[in-house]
This record gives sequence, structure tokens and C-alpha cells, in this order.
Amino acid sequence: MYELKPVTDRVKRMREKYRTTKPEICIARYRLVTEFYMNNPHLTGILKRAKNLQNICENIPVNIYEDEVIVGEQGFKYRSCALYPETGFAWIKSEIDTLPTRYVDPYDISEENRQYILDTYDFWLTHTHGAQADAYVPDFLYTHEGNGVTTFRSRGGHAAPVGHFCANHNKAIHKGFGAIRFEADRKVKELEAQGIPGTTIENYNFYRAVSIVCSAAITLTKRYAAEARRQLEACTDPVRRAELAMMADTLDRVIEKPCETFYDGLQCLFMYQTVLALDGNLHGLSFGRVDQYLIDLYEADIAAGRITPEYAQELLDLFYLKVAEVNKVVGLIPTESGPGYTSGQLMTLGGTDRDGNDATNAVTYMMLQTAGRLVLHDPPQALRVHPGTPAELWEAAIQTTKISGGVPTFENDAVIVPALMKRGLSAESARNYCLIGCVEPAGCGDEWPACGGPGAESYFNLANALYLAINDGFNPMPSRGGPPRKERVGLPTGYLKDMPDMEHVYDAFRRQVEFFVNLHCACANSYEYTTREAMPLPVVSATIDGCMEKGLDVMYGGAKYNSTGIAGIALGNAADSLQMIEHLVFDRKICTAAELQDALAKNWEGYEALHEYVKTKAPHYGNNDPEADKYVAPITEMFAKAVTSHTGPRGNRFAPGMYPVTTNILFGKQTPATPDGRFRGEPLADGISPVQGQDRHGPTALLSSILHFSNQSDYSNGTLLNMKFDPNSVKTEQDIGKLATLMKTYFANGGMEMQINVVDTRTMRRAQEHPEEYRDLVVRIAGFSAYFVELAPEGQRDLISRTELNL
Amino acid sequence: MTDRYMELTAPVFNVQTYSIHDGPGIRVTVFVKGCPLRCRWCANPESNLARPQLMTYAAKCTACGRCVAACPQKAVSIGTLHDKPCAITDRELCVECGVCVDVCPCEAREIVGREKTVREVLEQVLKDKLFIDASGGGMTVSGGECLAHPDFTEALLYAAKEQGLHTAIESSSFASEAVFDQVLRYVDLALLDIKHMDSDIHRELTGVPNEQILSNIRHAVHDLKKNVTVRVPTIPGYNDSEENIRATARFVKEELGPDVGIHLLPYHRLGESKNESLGKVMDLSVSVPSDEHMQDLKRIVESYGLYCQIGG
Repeated sequence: MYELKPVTDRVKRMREKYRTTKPEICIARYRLVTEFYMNNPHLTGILKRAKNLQNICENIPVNIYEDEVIVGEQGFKYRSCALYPETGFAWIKSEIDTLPTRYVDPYDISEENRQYILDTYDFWLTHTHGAQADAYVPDFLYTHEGNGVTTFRSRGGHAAPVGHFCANHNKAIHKGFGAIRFEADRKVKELEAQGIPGTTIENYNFYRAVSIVCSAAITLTKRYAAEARRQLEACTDPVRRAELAMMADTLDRVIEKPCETFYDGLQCLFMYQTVLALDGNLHGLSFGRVDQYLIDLYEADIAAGRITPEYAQELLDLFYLKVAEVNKVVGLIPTESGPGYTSGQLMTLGGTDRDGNDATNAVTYMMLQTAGRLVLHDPPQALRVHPGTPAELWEAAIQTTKISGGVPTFENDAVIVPALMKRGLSAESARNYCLIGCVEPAGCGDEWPACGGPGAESYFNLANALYLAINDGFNPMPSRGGPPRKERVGLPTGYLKDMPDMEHVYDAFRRQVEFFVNLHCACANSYEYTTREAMPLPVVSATIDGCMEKGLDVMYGGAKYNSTGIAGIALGNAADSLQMIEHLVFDRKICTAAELQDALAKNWEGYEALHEYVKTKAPHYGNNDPEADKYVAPITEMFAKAVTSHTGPRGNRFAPGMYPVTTNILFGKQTPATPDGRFRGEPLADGISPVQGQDRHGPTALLSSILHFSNQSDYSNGTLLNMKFDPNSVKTEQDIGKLATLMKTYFANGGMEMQINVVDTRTMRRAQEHPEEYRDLVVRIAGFSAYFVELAPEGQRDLISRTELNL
Repeated sequence: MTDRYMELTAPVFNVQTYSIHDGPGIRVTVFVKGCPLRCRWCANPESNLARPQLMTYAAKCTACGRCVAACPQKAVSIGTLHDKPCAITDRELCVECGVCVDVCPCEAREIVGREKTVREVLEQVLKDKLFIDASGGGMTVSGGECLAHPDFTEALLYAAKEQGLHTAIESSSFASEAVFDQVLRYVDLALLDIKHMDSDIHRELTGVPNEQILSNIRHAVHDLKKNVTVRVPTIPGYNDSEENIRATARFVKEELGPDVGIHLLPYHRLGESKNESLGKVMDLSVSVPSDEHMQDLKRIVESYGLYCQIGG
């Protein structure tokens, strides 16, 4: 049976500190960047960004806290949070006073810091990248504002940097920035010797910038080494003294030179991540294949007797706590859809090597052990599985997910590798993929995937596209707090009441989807044009394969592979709604098209009987009923085709995904009542799942339904499937084996991703309050079957208390 | 057999997918309705009677009153249950016509049990073939008591085997030997209950003596050469004494053989909810057995050299 070993006292203390420290806004980075931008109006482009980072690395406070071994900080105190005004900043003025008290993820801020931000705020109104995007983005795109289908924001709302990628951490660890700087300097000299011919001036400046940021990263790391030595001098505890000496030695070497030990590797990973973030980007910054980077170092340490497995595990615990400590503050609306101080620094483990052999190693298990014994939901982890994944790893992973609630996610190599090859990656690169952000597959250190699009998040609400399709392109819902647009925001495709048959309905839907994909890609490409001018990323480009070879920043297409992601959401509502229109209006003639149209417009008011029929009697997606699932395949095929037909500014294809993170709630607020029985404003369906509470035949029926998805390997930007299980179904080793088989069967038949949520007591309590949303929750005990929501309150309480006892 | 066996029917109250505690692999469990036993702890009391029955779910009821208005028998009124307003059905007046079920907007009322054909049930089972095959699973017929519907159960098991499925039954073994033979013919694994070794107590707890049951189980192992697992629903204070568990283990070892395993199924109180839904009160007041107690009993069984597991 899988076992979690106890954490050390130090890790206990650090975990407690993590959990009890309220994050605070730190303006150290903000002040440095503001002064630099104010004093250097003459600098532009990549050299401005490089020198900005140099200034930060030379002057940002350097802290090593009690008990720490892995170090690196973006602010002046533990859990403090840096600000990144270069990307977008408009939200902070209106929210700064409520930040410390807001109901999700509050941040403290000192009066002095608050005042400094307000004093300098106006400067950034015209100097953020968001302002530049506002000024540039063509007017025609704004005429479709408020559509509720795409996420492209209104003027003044651009805030997100380009994120969602994985730098080449392996190069940082095994090559070092000293060697990269050497190459860059050599290129600079070569080009100078040739007279910087032709168009190489771009390359020349790129290499200059890379050289500067390599020095900056090395400088920062050596400042930490100096701090370790300063503390060493003052320290009397012999154990801590030895540790500080080790830290000083490591911090003097890593980043500049290749890592030699397991601890070097962890410290280098975290320091590079810190520098990447200090450069102005903490947005879906993913670590990639941590177990693969570190195994050689770990095995060498063990073989040489330099480290015990216990101490290595403790270091890994400390590394995770350090990653979890990092915060990124954003405005209230985006925080509401992703609360919990998460910064999305996803790690990948397991999978195969570049040749397709199982790559599970000791560090893979150590990562699960840490995630399980720290019981943290952050950092997130993604486990790659393939037919050769060892049974012990399946067990360890399922045991971990029981404790950590959905960590790790399970990612199917058999679907993802071909998906990435279709996107253009070589077989070797595809087999070396990692996951970005949430569930987005990408090359590990050799691709610029822009999984979340180039800046503004790239979500696409299929449910609203359907609503606009049957409402002549008008959206009656307010968008992002603003009033509803009176003007048409989509295509004039007519009204449901005038549509003679299902072909017309589907055709209107298809046209809206194609129109909005087109609109979205136009927005994304316009946005990326300004982003690359304002925010080239030399610290990323220094390591990602292709950039140094081509002499180009990732933002200019320097990476070996390129992509731009977009994520569809509300598949369940769209598929159910189309099917329901057919069922109600054309097939069974339960109501007329005009009646259904009116029912939706009135949010089902006055149509209670019809609504009840839809919710409780009519067929729904998710129950392995081919008739009810019939629109899943056409929708997923059509959306993928529409997306992949578009080209991005780096010559890449757009890549479709199907995952909402939590935008299904946000988008739900912008979506009118839909034919699947959803009320106006209610959340939309999650990922590729059916509408909440409408799958009633258990996990096998649900998975069979989902396998009606056209072809998940067309969705190289990832799909997401959340499965709920009651604790009785994952109790014993035998149960876990059967769950693993269930997942393997889904994967063997085309499933791409799955995450398991063992229902916790909080969910059970919610199910007591809202039984209609949890109709599918089955209690599984030998010879007994019942739905949780059908048990008497005592029975429900009994199960809740038993669940509490088990965990 | 001709194809007419596909049209045989029995009252079925649930076809449960992803059954993972009723035989090997991932299974579909078919619950038939109607049982000659009346175990006082019955976890599926809706399976006692063969006829369709009304079940009401207080947790889902919003006391909207539609059922009150619709009931032709005037059997429903709004009262209080679990400290909240709730539709209460007077079971003396109720004829289980199902009118209230049709009008209920919250699915708080349901008629459970419907005559289904072998064909219909098999079709439902085969929808999960992908997962059944991948896991080495199959179909289990449970209940109620499948021996109470021998023609249907035999036909269903036969039809499942025709489709290459592994078959199991979960049964009390309470039937004549002839019926037992008929049903077991197409069974790969028989999960057979022994609720008490003392026939008098057995009768007191379940309404029937155990001689026929024990004889059938012996018959299944020795004459029919079936793969048998003995299941003991473990009910604190009723059949969980060391003496009874030892007697059960001794019976299994000496009269069935050391290859027959025992599943100790810890009592759970969820049947109480279902009793409430049927408008009944459960005549049993026990708490669930502790994990330690179950482990003790397991060790006792294992001391006889038998395989034993807690739970299905």
C-alpha cells in the first residue's frame, strides 16, 4: 500500500508559515521599473527590456529567510508580491483600496507603497503595453465588443502578459548562462566583424540583449551567495552553518555554470524561474519535466554518498513550498475565476523519453510524495502516462490525487504526442512534451506555444455562439460589468422562430463559430504585433531552442516550434442545446421554435413545464445515448477545423483546446438562458464534461459519451475532463486498480486528459444544498447502490462524517 | 433455447454501471426486485417486494405542493421532515399510481422497479463492454434475490455468456436445489451470503432457516464445481460474534474447502434512508462496526487459512 512519509520539523514550520502569512504587495520591482522607464525614454525594444532586467537584478532586495535552503524572491519579504506595470495596470487604481479586504485573495499594502503607486499611476496609463495595444488594435474589432463569445477585452482592459510557456530549464541547469553569454558575445563580435550586414541588425541586438540578461541572472544569484555568506558569519548553529556554506557555494556556481548536485538543480530551477518572473512575466510560467532535468544529478549524489534520500526529499519539499509562496496579484474579476493565490507554475512528471521508452524515475515518485505529504493544491502537477507507465506509479498518483484534490492531472501520451506532431513537432520533441498552465501540451523548452494566446486570455464560448446563432447575432447579456450592447455583436443569422429545420440551426451556429474564430484570431494577431514590440523576452529566448541559432527573440518567432492556443468552453451546453432544439422543436414537436425562443428570452419564466421537461425528462449528453450525444462530434470537428485554419504572426497555426479553467463561471454570467435548460447567468459546463448534474449513469457512461468527441488529437492545446468519485470507490488497492483501468480504457480509446476529484465533505455539503447539481453522485458499496442526493439527511451526514474520518 | 428467452422479464430496479465491489473487474450489476428473505438490516429494502413501489426523497423535496394537488387518493400533504417542510405520503392511502411522480419538478418521487426483458437489460449491460473487457469485468445479477426469478436470471446469464461476458450472481442461496441448479448453470462466480450459522437465529434475523442455504452452497462447490465466494454481511450485535465468525470460517474450510474466500461486508446504515423513502421504519438500531473490529474478524477468518477481505 502506498505510504506517505512524515515531513521534517523544518518543513512543518515552513508549511505553517506559508499558510499563515497574508501576502503583501511589494513595490520594490515596481519602483525600479518605474524609475527605469521614466529615466530611459530613449531606449526601446529588446535592449530596453534587457537593461530593465539588469537594473532589477542589481538592485532588487535579496533575502534569505530562516529555515530556507532554496532561495529567491521577487519582493522585500516572505510571500510578498511584485507588480508588473509594463503589461497592464489600469485595474489597480480602482481596486487598490479594496485589495487588503477583498473576499478572494486579499493582499496587504502599506500606506507608503499605496501612495507611491497612486503617484506614479498616470505615467503607466500611457506606458503600459495595454495602452499601446489599445492605441493599435484596429477599430473594426471593437464593433463586436460585448459578444460574450470571445475574451478579447474592451479598451483599457488589456492586462495580461504573454505567458503560458516552458523555458528550457534543462539548458539553464546543464549548460548555464555563462556558456550562453559566451555564445551571445561571440555572435556579437562575429557580426561586428562582418559590419552587421543586411538585416542582421535585429540578430545583433538580440545577442546583445541575451548577453545582458545572462549577466543580470548571474549577478542576482551571486548577490544571494553573498547574502548566504553574510548570514554564515553571523550564524552559530553548526547545522545551519553547514547549510549556509553549502548554499553559498551553490549560489556562487549555479545559473552561471552547469549544476553539479541535486540541490544545485533545484536552486537553479527556482532562480531561473525568479528571473523569468522579474523580467515581467508570471503568467502560466511552467517548469516542464522536472523529474527528467534532475534525475542524473540525484543519482550522482546518491552514488557518491553526497545526499540521503530523506534529505533530498526535504529539499524537494522546500522547493515546492518556495514555488507555492510565489504570488501574482490580479484584479478582482480574474481572481474570482482563479482564486487561491495560484500562480499556475505547472510541473510535468512521468511519460517517455525522446525515443519513447518509459522515463519514470526516482524523482518522479519523490514529486508525488511531496505533493501528497504537503497537501498543497499549488504547485499544480501533470503526470504523463503511456502504456508502459508502471503500475506503482499509477497507484502513487491516484493516492496523491485522493489527498491533494486533482493533483496530479493525468495526461495521455498516446493522444498528445500525435497531436503535437500534427502541430509540427518532430517525434522526438513531441515525446519530450510537457504541460503548460493547466492542461496545455507543448514542446519542453523548444516551442513558443502561447497556449493562452498572445496576452489577453483566449477562451471561446460555444454556448453563446449558439445563442447568437438563433438570436440574429444579438447578445442581451451585459459583458464584463458593462451594459448589454444594443447593437448586433455577431452575424445576422436570423432567429430560431424563423428557422425551418435543424440544418438551418446548425448552419447558423457554424457560421457564428467561424466568424468569431476569425475575429478572435484577428484580435490575437493584432495584439501580438504590439506585444512583441513592447515586451520581447530575452531571458526566455536565451534558453529556448532555436532562438540563439536564429538570433531571434521568441516573440519574433525565434523558437524552433511555434503555436498560438485558443480554448473552447461550454461544449456540454452547446451539444446539449443543439440536440435539445432538435428534440423539442423538430423531432418531438413538444414546443414550437417561437415558444422556445420566447422561453429563452424570458429566462424560462412562464415556461416552467417546458423547463422541467428539459431538465428532468429530455435526453442529455453524458449518458452514453448516441442520439443525445450526436452533436458532440460535429461541433468538436468544426471548431477544430475553424481554429487550425488560421495562422499566427510567427507563421504558426492556431491550436484548439477545450478547457475552461474557471471561465465557465465568468462566461456563464455573459450567457443568456440556453436550450439545455440552463438559466441566464448560470455557470456553463466544465471542460469537455456534460452539463452539471445531467450525466446520471456513472463514469463508464460518461466516458463513453465523451468518446463521441471527434478526435481529441486535433486538440493540441489540450482538453480537460474532471471526474468526481465518492470516497468509497477509491478506498482499497483493488478499487484504485479498477479506477486506473477505467482511465486506461478511456485513454486507449482516444481520451487525452483526466483529473480525478475524490468528493470531499465540502462537496457533499454542497450537494445537500443543491441536489440538482449533484444528481450523478453515486454511493458505491458492495451490493448497495444509491445516489447521494437521494439519501435521507441522516444518511448523508453519516457519509460525510465517515469521509472526514477516512482523510 | 430459442430467441424467446430474450423476451423473458423480471422486475428490475437498477442497472448499475461501474460496479467495482461485486466481482472481478469493472462490472454492470443488475438488481432484480423481490426477495423471500427479510433481513432486518437490508440495505436495499426497495428490493423486498417484486412489485413497483413509490420512493420519496425528502432531501430533494422543496414542498412545492404539486404532488398534494395531483394525488387522486389525497394521500399526500405538506408536513415537516428533518426540520424542513416536506411532502409526506400517507402509505395507508397511497396506491402507488405514480401520478405524483409525473408532476414532481425536483425528482423527489420515483416509482422504482419496472418489468424489463432480458434483451433490454443485456443491451444496457453491453453499453459498457469497452470497460468490462478492458478490466476483466462482467455482469453481476444482484437483488433482491435473483433466485426468485429463475427463468429470467438463467436467460440473462446465458445471454451474457453468449456475448462473452464473465457472469456472477450475488444471492442468498435460498431456493430449491432445482431452481438453484437452473440459475447457476451459466454462472462463473457465485457470491453467496451466509448470514448466520445458527439456523434458529438465522430465521429470527432473516425470516428463513439456513439449512437449505448451506446445502445449496455445498452443492454449488462440490457438485456444480462453481467458483464460490462466501459473503458475510457483518452486523454488530447480530452476527459478528467471534463464535459465529469462527463457525462460518469452519464451515467454509471444512465443508467447502480452503479455496473458497470470505468477504466480510461491514454494516452500513444507508438502508435506513431507503426505508424512509419507502415510508417504513427500520427495525434495527446498530452502529457501524469499527475498522479495528473488522480487522479482528478478518484475522479470525485468516487463522483458518482462508482468504478474507473486508468489503466487496
